Amino acid sequence: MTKETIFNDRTSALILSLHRGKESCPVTEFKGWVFKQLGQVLDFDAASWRSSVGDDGEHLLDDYSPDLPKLNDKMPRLCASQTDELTTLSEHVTLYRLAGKRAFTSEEHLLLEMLLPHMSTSYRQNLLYAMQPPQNDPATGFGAYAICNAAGILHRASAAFTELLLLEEPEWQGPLLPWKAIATVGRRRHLEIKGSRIIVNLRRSEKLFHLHIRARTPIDDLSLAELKVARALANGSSYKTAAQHLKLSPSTVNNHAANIYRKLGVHNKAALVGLWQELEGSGKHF
Amino acid sequence: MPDTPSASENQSAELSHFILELYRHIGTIPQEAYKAWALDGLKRVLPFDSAFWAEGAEFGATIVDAHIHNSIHPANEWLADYAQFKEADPLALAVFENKGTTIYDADLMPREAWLADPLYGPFCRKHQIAYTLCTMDYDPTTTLVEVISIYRADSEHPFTAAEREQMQFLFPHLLETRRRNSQAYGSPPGPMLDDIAICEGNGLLHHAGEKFLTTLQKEFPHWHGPLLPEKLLKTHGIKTCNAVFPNQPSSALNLVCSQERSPFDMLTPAEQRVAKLLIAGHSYQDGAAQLSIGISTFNKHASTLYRKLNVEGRNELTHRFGSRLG
Repeated sequence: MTKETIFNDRTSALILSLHRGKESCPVTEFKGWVFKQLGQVLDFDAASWRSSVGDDGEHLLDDYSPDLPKLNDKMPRLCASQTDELTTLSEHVTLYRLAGKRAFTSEEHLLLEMLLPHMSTSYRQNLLYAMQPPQNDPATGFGAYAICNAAGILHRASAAFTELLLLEEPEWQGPLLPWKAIATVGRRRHLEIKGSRIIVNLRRSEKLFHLHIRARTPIDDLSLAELKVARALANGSSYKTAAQHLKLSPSTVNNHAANIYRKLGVHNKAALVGLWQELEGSGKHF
Repeated sequence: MPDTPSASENQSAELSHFILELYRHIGTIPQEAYKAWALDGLKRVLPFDSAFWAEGAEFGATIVDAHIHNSIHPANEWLADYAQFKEADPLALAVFENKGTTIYDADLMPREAWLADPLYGPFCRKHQIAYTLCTMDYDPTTTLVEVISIYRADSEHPFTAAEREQMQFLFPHLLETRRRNSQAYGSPPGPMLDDIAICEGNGLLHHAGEKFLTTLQKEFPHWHGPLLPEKLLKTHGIKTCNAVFPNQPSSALNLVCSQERSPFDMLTPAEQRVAKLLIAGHSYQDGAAQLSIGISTFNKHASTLYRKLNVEGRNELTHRFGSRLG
């Protein structure tokens, strides 16, 4: 084999993870996360990443330069930048090695230049996700998602889907999905399958089914009536206002509440609110 | 290996740009057109004559979707010819055992040997395949398989070692974006970088998508960064003759979108709902029942929207706007 070029599997995997990670990483940690990824293909000891706008970068939008050692001219450095002429948006990335280490090569320079557009795109996309998180939207997330035909034969599945499926059915092997209910769905457009550890939602579009899996939470044990009461209580309603709002008698609400607390394993409203926020925050439920 | 692969500046920029384009267009290309679109792009950075891109369950057993790109004979003929020896295809077996690795057929055995094969030889001659780069992904749990082969027809133009490497480099991104594209199918598009801008309260740009800029320049031909036109920062955005720019101010940053303006923007939400039902072919009675409104209200909405859109009635409405609302 000849010498490895910049078009290698590690670099390809890095670009892939940049385009995936933009959805899950908090904005404040994003650039740090990117540098950590970058460390897998480039050897460096310190780094900085400036995002700016305006002629000559006069407005600094974000400057990420953590724990930079005292810089001196003896430290090898590698710079890459891109500027859009129309918008004047620009990115400057600099990587440093400690003094005495080898200089950066032209190959490494090429590599950083190639990666920069992906770094900046995923940085912007990450910012956008933070401002407008997708609501359980398979179009944007690489969710637990699959497609099968009417017989339950898998046509497509994401890695997250398989992972959750194996939670419920550790021995499973494709291509036939383990749920017999799929074959009996008939003319209905929706179907929910409750497993002991997962919830599967099926939606039919023409001849195929789109499937979504999520982990089962205690909230799935609630009846529809209990769910309505729980939601009201978790949102801060008193028993009385919940009863008025849901057109139920106070004693019915009391009954439901007792069942809710039992099923969710909590003993008071504060714990209910906490649990609700946790499940809601995990994005797995709603 | 015949030559030392070395990356030139152009090459790496082209490949990087192509990958970015793939990710950018996940939500904008219809699912059924995605493979053809992506292969056309691939062809510009890595020239080939025809290609095969298919997914299936259980290696060789079920083909879920197969796309034959630029074939000289019809796709079903191609598939029928291939089906005769697919189980005995040595190239397919080689890629199956090396998932994610691009295999060059000429590395396995010389071209003469391929052509001498009683099944493979006639197939290659008929479909004008001189050289193949083939890559496969396989998940043993789900048994799902995905394979992309690109073919060159001219025996004087073999693939190089560098090209084999580039195909292997690009393969994960072709798969990832194709998968996300098919997930996007039938679901509402989520936030897309392309048609939005992010700015501070005074208009100072943090991001501007390509499509956003194109639309912006139509309205403000002389615009130049770093500040967005003040007009766009009004609380709910603005409508201009060609576009709408809804604005979503949030705590620190604004999100400004651009959309091509459609005549439907002139309708109220109630009228839009009525229009959709009319286009879908519902009767007034049925439509009114679906929206839980009276027939006379439905009637009124219908006549107002006909006037606003300047159409005579349902037939013209469906004819002119039907495709837009799906």
